[in-house]
Amino acid sequence: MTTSDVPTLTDALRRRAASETPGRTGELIAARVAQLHGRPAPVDEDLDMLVRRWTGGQDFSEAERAVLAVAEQMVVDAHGVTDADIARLAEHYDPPTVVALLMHIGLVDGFGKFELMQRSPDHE
Amino acid sequence: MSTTPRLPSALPGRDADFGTLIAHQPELAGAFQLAYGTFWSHGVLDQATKEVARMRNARITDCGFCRNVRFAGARAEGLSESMVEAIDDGYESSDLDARQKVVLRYADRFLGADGPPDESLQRDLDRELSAAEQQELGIGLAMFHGFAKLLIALGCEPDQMDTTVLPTPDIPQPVSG
Repeated sequence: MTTSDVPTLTDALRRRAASETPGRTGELIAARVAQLHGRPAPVDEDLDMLVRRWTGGQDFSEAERAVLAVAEQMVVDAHGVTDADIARLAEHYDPPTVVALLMHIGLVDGFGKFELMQRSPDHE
Repeated sequence: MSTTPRLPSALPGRDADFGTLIAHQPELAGAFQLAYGTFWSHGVLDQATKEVARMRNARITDCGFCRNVRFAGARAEGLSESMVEAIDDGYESSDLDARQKVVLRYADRFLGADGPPDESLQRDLDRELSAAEQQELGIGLAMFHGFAKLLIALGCEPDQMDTTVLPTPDIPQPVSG
């Protein structure tokens, strides 16, 4: 391994975590976390709008709503994630999928904040 | 804060903890260990500087496990316990050196999602760290932050934990035999 492997290996880790998320949940996570960071959401405009108002509409399944609730809480304050939040996820997904979803949320949050640090000051 | 793991262990006969929970995703856990081990033991940035950033994340994220862990390599490079204690909100007036303080200012901006460094911070960063070191610092903070939150959300914070020095993460060796 060489020093230049660190970005390559972390990119592989992020891709792997995203690939383990079911259906469109990976996209929903990426969109909601970006919105909370104040970054452009990496999804099309329609989905961006739907995710912005996810609590008020009927556009998402119960499983997707459970994912969005945990994603939002992890970004705002991970200590606010409750036993009930994870139990709700576990009603819809098996433990390997719950682990993948939570890891993806954490990575999208962490690397999204890194992306903010790398933006040109013109975005300010 | 939950100190009760929120999922069952993936490994029969083993208690549920962070390691046995992420074992539900062995390939993902392996990808993490490879990236994290390479970052810590084969990167461009010195381990003491990485540890300064990790401890700042631990305190801001308030991760009960991360706060109490120290990595041996950073200690060997001279990051003492009194220096670690200075990584609190009063670090600017502490005895930490200029490089450590600029890393902490970068970490605070990063963790607050405050956008790119301003001119003054970028100038200080360029004086203290090469471009490759700055990139690795950012990648490190992203991993510290994401995995601290994962551990918290999984309910894997300890009830109580003394300060514990652990071996510095390295690339996992294949199990022989």
